[in-house]
Amino acid sequence: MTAMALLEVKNARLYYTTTKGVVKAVDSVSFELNEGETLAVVGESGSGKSTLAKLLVRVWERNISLVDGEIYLEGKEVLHIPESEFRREVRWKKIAMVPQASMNALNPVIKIGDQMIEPLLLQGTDKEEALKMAMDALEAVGLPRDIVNRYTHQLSGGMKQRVIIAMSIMAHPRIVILDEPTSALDVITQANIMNLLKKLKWEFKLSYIFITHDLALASELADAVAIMYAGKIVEIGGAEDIYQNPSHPYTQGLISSVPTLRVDKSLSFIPGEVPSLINPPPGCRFHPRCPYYRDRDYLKGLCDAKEPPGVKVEGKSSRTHLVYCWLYG
Amino acid sequence: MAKRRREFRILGMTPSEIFKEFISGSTGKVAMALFIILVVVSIYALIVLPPNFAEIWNNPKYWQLNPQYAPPAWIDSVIGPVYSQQIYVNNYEYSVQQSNGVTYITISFSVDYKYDKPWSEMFVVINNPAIYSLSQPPVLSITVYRPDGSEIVLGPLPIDRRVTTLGVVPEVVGQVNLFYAEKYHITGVIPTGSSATPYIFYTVDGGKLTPLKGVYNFRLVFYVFSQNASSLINKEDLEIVLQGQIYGLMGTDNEGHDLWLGLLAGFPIDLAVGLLTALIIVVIAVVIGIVAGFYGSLVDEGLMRLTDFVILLPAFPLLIVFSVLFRWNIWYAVVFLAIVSWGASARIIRAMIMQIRNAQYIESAIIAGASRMWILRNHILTQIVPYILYLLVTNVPGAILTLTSINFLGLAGSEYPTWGMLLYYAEVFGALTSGYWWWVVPPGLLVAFVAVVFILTAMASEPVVNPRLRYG
Repeated sequence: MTAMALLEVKNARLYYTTTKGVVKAVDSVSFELNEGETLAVVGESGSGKSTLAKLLVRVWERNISLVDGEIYLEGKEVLHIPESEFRREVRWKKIAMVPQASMNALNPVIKIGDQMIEPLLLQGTDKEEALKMAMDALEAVGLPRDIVNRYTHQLSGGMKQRVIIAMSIMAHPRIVILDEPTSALDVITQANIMNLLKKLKWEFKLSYIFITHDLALASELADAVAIMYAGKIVEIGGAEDIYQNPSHPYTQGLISSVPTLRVDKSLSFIPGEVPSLINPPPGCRFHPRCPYYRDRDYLKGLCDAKEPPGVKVEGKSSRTHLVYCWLYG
Repeated sequence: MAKRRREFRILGMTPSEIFKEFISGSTGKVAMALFIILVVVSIYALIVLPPNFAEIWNNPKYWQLNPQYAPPAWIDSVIGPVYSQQIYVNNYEYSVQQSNGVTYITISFSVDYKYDKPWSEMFVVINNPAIYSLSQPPVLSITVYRPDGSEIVLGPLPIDRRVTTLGVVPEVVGQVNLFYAEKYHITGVIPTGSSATPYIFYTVDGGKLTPLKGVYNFRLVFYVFSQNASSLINKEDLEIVLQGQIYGLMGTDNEGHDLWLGLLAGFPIDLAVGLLTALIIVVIAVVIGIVAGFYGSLVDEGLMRLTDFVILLPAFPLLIVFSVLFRWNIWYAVVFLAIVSWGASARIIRAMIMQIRNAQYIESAIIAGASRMWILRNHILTQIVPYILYLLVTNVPGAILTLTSINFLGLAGSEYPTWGMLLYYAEVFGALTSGYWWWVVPPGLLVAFVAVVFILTAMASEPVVNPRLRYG
């Protein structure tokens, strides 16, 4: 990494308080995002992917108990600046987010246009100008300009998704966080949206943080991949390295569980489920499900006791390939 | 893009768009037509009825010239000329003579009698008090020239009041009896206590009384014992009224009230009562619902317990009890009904807000820096305004029906006649058992009509308030 990263996250932590205890949804996560790069964050449901996204745009629920770490955006710390400043200068303008289940992110009784310009109006942009920006953004995502006068129910799922994407790029941000942007869409629409995202990336020189549970989909877009498990990143590196040389047992399990068309292979799966984040397993959080831990005696007392360090793995891409596993430690 | 003015919009629609949407369906067209009728009739009623109508309605003297329990006048055109019409004789020959300190005023007119049932009474009305309050009152003598050539002379009678009821003056009764005794040799034709007037229009055929049809000429002579009576009296001050058996558009009740006017007066008052009740209900429900739903926690808890209490109150029995206890008029009943009726609406509004409050677009708005007021105005109110309008429309017929019911029980009345009160008096005076349908059916139908209008309006406003139903 010669040049300064566009976004640098260091030891980010976000805990929730619930009646059952403290949920460590994001625990000591560190990564970097470079200019023009797409980082895919992949993990199972409940692994803290979406919470990570919320942490980055500082949208958290009321029952938050701990927010810690450092986030540098263009070299400037943004996690601990006042909310009003963050809202004024960072959110939408530098980092925008396409929320999960964005089909439901639109108010059914407000016209698309009025809804899109709401954040701009709240920042004091003139209404006409805001509407023009909205229409430009709609055009950029391949929708007609007059859609501003429509209501949500008049749009198809793919169109709604495009509207949400248009909303996110409206203020020309540097980074767009895509939280499962295609999860409720059929495959054809999914492909369309993916192509659109690629196009927008070039057009607006965007960097993406692409959050998904779908490794295959992530491979479409990603330059770099971070694998998350139980609130932690277990492996991160260039896309080629991760796909061709998955090093963490969990990554290996994920990749082998991706179905392949017309190839007769039995799908493997990872036994067990994502542990509770209230009381995560000690040491490596994956060890109760890890096939190596089960088979190799020397790992006992290591994986289940100490947190694994980040280990560099040789790779082809320019990005550092880090894996957090005692197999390499 | 052209200049965009800040337009008045509800749900992102201008009023003209809302109107278009509203009448796009056939329900909407019907509802709109009926609603316009309702409003136009109400306005018409307010214009036509004098401002002191309540006072007039409750003044029996005002209605004394009208027949009582008379069916509507138009039934003659349905069943043929059976009942005689009410006739106000203004158009008569009028002449004044003076001699020896006495002024003679002669009036002649003729009426065509073609009915089976004759006029029940004849009134001589003098509108100038200077005439009938002279120290020596004027004297009236009447000659009736009947179609069969005979004539009946009535009077002379003193005219010492505004309205002289001819048929009940003992002298007149005697003279008519005498006429029958002399001509047909029948004595005591007029039953005791009955008016003599109808018997002027009978003849005897085969020993039985039958109507004598044809043209009757009347000649009335007033003897005014004053030299300058001609300056005191003029033609407009004198009126002769033949009281019919049928009356007006909608008939009359026990006091001779013109029911048409009563029904007309019911339009604005019933509408006002319904709208006012609905308005109070909706205002309370919206305020409680929004505060509870938006602020949540303890405020919510407190308000919801209050709401539960209100929902549990038996509104109608309480209304009856309090109306009896405190002798409420209708306006107190309106306020009370509203105060015990907002519970369910408030609960629904609260539930809607709770649901909206947790939606993702609210989260987005908060993230974008929206204040509570912004969210309330742009996200929450826009979604509940349609429901508020719907509540307003649907609460009106309920309120009208409830208040009509309480009026029907003779409670919570008003000076103005409401339809419920008309029904109450109809019931008290046995309209149903006596077959006075014109007293019972129209007010009942009108109550139902108003309810239907508002329900249709509510149905037709669905596509307006629910954007999902728009555009086909």
